[in-house]
Amino acid sequence: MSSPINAQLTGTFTSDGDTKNISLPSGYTSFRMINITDIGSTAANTNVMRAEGTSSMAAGSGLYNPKTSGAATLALEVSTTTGGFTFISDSAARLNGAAVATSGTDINRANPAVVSTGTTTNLVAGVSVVRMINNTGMFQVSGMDFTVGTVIASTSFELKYLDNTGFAADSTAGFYRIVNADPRFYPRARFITAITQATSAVITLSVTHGYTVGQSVRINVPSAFGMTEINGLLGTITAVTSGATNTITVDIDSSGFTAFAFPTSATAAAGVSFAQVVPVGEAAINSSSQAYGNLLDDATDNVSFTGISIGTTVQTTGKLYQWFANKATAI
Amino acid sequence: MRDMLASTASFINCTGGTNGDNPTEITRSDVDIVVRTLRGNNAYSFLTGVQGEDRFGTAPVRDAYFSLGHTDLIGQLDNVTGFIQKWNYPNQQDTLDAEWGNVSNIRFLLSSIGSTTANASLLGATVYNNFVAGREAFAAIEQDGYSAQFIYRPPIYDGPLALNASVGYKFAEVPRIQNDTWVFNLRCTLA
Repeated sequence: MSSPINAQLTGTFTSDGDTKNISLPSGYTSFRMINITDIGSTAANTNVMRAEGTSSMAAGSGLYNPKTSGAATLALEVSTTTGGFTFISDSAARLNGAAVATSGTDINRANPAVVSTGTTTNLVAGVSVVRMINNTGMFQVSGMDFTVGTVIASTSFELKYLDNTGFAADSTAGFYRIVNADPRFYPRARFITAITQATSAVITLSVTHGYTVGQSVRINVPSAFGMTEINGLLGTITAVTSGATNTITVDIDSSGFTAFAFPTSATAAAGVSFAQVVPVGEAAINSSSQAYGNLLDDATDNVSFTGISIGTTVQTTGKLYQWFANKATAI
Repeated sequence: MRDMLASTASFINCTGGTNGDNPTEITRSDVDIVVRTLRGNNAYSFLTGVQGEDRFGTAPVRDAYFSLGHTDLIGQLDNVTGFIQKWNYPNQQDTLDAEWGNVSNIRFLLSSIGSTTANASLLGATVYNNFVAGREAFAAIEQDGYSAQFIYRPPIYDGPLALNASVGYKFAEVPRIQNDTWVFNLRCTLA
């Protein structure tokens, strides 16, 4: 005879409007959460009050109840296939999305570059990462990953940190895939999309970098990308930006260097390596109080997780949610 | 360690092949680029050479760096100019179970859980990551002398009805690239 065992975990978080990841032990099969902030509220809004998802639902799906505007009651339950819950057994092993065709002027030349496509499902501005594939006329970016900028549903999305106005031609055909997994260890190597010629070089990276001031990085720029003088140099990060721009400033004087420029599409098609920033690690600061810095301050760190990803559709920014995760096993 | 190298190691795309992708399949010129780069960065090789002997069908093997790759590369490596299969080494004393063979100054170790990156080539094919490393290029550093522990809790301690046992392991260590110029990810696709 088997005996059922039910396990429940609970916790709270305040929504910041972005996708929220919560670590859970393996095997959890249901998840629900309640808006604590708006309990009893009669304000005129439709904030998400209650939401739930199960591991059997498709990724990104969920059920939720908005608040009735102007009353302390719940509106009818809504089901969604996007922006809901995704159960994750290993965040670094998640599969890429299906290949999606670009269309029209597939990738135009702009700052930032804009990808035209009839399918923008699951693309979230500032969060999603896409990998461009087989982009005719713009092979320079094929195989590279980019953080997505503004998304116009069923029409287009931006490659947020790519200024490709210097490219020779638009892309006329190709594909993209959503990349759901970031490499398991932080800090991560990132592709370079631009480097300024300045006393302190400013480097733009194609995907949200997560670097911090003080970290050491190696700059790899193959000859096809122009600024060969910087290739192989080691720099310390002196400033970072994120959000609208995605840059690091390093203590390398590039003012006299050759300009950074992507190779032509034909050159890229013939085979090139990409320009990249590689984290070397040490952000240790020696001081009188700490004569010998901790060389493991920025050692590679496994940041992958098992748990659940809560999408933006089933939460309301600024609200405190209490969540409950359950699993049941029979022994 | 594999995933740490995949996350942070500098990479070099194979470009010497003819499959029309970027990176291409692995070729001798790609191997030479990595060897030249590691030698240029004064990386120490892992193994001394294997001296030639008077045995039919064998060939001496150079002192070598290790490359950690995926078993899908079997057949691909065999087609690389100058490839010496492990069985064609003058003797088998210094070979490893995972070793497939040698090209130039690299000895290739292959595993079914070798590193790959899905859909990452120009044409969207799987990219195979070959981590070519010199001696002491990377390491696993234990924290505070804490070594890995294998844990077994017999049923009597693991549940009120003594029905289930638990087995697991825990460790406190950090994988670390010690010299980033001594390890490269040589990325390739299949022919």
